[in-house]
Amino acid sequence: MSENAPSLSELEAIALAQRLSLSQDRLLAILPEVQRLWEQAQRIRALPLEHEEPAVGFSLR
Amino acid sequence: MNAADLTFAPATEIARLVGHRDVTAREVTEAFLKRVEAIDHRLNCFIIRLAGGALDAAARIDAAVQAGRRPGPLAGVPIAVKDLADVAGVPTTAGAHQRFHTHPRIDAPVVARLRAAGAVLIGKTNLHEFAYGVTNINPHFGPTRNPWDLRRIPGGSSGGSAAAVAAGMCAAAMGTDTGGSIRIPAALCGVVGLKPTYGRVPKAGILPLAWTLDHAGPLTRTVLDAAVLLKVMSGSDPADSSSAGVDVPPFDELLGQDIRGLRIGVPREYFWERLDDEVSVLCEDALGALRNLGAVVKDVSLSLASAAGSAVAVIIAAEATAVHERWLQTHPEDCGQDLRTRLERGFFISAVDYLQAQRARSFLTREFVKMFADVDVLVTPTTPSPATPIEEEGRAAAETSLAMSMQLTRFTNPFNLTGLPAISVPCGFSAQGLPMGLQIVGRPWDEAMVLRVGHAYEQATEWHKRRPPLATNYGTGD
Repeated sequence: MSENAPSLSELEAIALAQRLSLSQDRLLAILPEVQRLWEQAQRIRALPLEHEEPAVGFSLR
Repeated sequence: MNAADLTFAPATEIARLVGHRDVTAREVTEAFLKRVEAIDHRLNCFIIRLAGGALDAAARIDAAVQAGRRPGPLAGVPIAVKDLADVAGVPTTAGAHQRFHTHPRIDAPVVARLRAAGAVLIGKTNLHEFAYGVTNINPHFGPTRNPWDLRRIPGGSSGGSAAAVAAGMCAAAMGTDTGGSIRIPAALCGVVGLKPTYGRVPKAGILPLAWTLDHAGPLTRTVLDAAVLLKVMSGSDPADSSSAGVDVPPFDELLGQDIRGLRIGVPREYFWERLDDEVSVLCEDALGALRNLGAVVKDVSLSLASAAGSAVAVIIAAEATAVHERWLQTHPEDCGQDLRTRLERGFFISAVDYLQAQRARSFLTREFVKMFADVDVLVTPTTPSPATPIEEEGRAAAETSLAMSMQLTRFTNPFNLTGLPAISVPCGFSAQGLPMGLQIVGRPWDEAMVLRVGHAYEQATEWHKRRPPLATNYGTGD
C-alpha cells in the first residue's frame, strides 16, 4: 500500500481497472475527496484493531 | 386558542385539546394547512402537500373522538415526514431527480405507527438530495430556507422537517440521521431533534443513505413531544433486520424527574474545540444551567473521538455509493454536483478500508460506552457554528457543501458510528438571532436519561418558546 494519497494518474488506473466510465474532468473533480478519504482511512489504521471484528451496527461485544 | 397559538402549540397539547373536544382535528388541520399555504413559498419546506388526505384523516379522528374511542397519543396532531420515507400512494422523491422517484403502495412502518397514533400527515418535506449533505440546497426542488433568516440554510439533511416545525407549519416531523441529519437542522432551526439508539426505530420503507449509520427519529418543538413521538415510532419490525426487539419504555412518563446528582460529562477534547465564540458562550451557559439544577458537571476525555469521524467518512462514502451505484452509472447527469462528487468518490474506497472502518466501529463503540461508567450523559454543542448563508448552485457551491458536511457533522457523527442516543435541544441565539443547539448523549437504549436531562434543561430555560420573526409577520391566519 502506498504511503501517499492517490495521485490523478493512480486514480485513472483504478478507474480503468474497475471499468468505471469517469472522464478526466470527473476524476479531477473528485481527486481532493478521494485523497481526503484516503487520509481518513490511514487514521483508522492507527487504532489498536488487532482483535476487533467488524460491526455493522450497534454492538457491545 | 387562536390559529397562531395553535400552530405553535406542542404536539402533546394539541392531542390533549382534540381528545377533550376543545378543538376538532379538522380545525387544527385547517389552521396548519392555511399556514403552509401562506408561508411555505418563502421557506420551501414541503415537496408534497397532502391537504386532502390530511382533512380526511382529521375527520376520522374527530369521528373517533365523537364516538368515545381512544384517539391515540397524537390525536389530530399535524405532522410532516421527510420525503425519504414511503407514504402509501404518494411518490417518494428523496429530493432527487424525477427519474429516481418511487411510488410506494404501503406506508413505511414508522409512518404507519405515527398515523395509527392519530397523527395527521400534512405533507412530505424537502431534504438534501438523497439525504447526502447538510445544506438542504436542493438542485431539483430548490433550497429550504431557515425560518430565522431566510438567507441562510436550515441545516440538513432533514432541513425541511426542522424548518417546518420551527415555522409552525407542522407540530412535529419525522427525520433521518446518518451523520447528524436530525440534530443539525434541529439546532440550526431552534427545535428539538432526537436520534435514538441504532435499532430503536425501524427503517423499512425509508430509502437508505448508509445502512449501518442510518437512524430515524422525531423533530419537535418540545422534549415531551419528542418523548411521545419516540414511543410511538419505536419497536422492532420484521421488515428491518437492523431493528432491535428491546423494550420500549414509556419515555414521556419518565420525564419530570429532577437531575440532582446526575453526572454530566463534558468531553472537552474535540467536542469543545474550534467553536464559534457565540456557540462556546451559550453552551458554557447551558452547563451552568445544568449545574444550577443540581447536576455534577465534570470534564471527561474522549481522545479517540476524531477517529470516529474518520470511520464515518469511509463507511458513508462506501455504503452510499453502493446504494446508488446503478443510478450513478446510468444517469450521473441527473445528480446535483455535490451529490455526484460524493457518490463517485465512493468507488475508490477499497473493501479493506471499509472493513477497517467497521472494525474501528467495534473498538470505538466499546471505548465510548466505557465512558458511561463515570457519567450519566455526555454534553456537547450540536454544531460548532450557527446557520451559514445559502450559496447558489455551481462548482464553488458544491465544494462549500462538501466542506459544510465536514464542519457541521463533527460533533454529531461519532454517535452515528457508535449508535448512542443523542438529542439536540435549543440553547440560545446568536447576536444575529440564529438558534444554536446543545447535544445530550446517553448510554445505549437509555433515551429516557437523554430526554430527562433535555427536559430539565428545557424547563429551566425559555429558548424553546421563541418563535421565528417570520411567524409574527406572515400567515398567522388571524
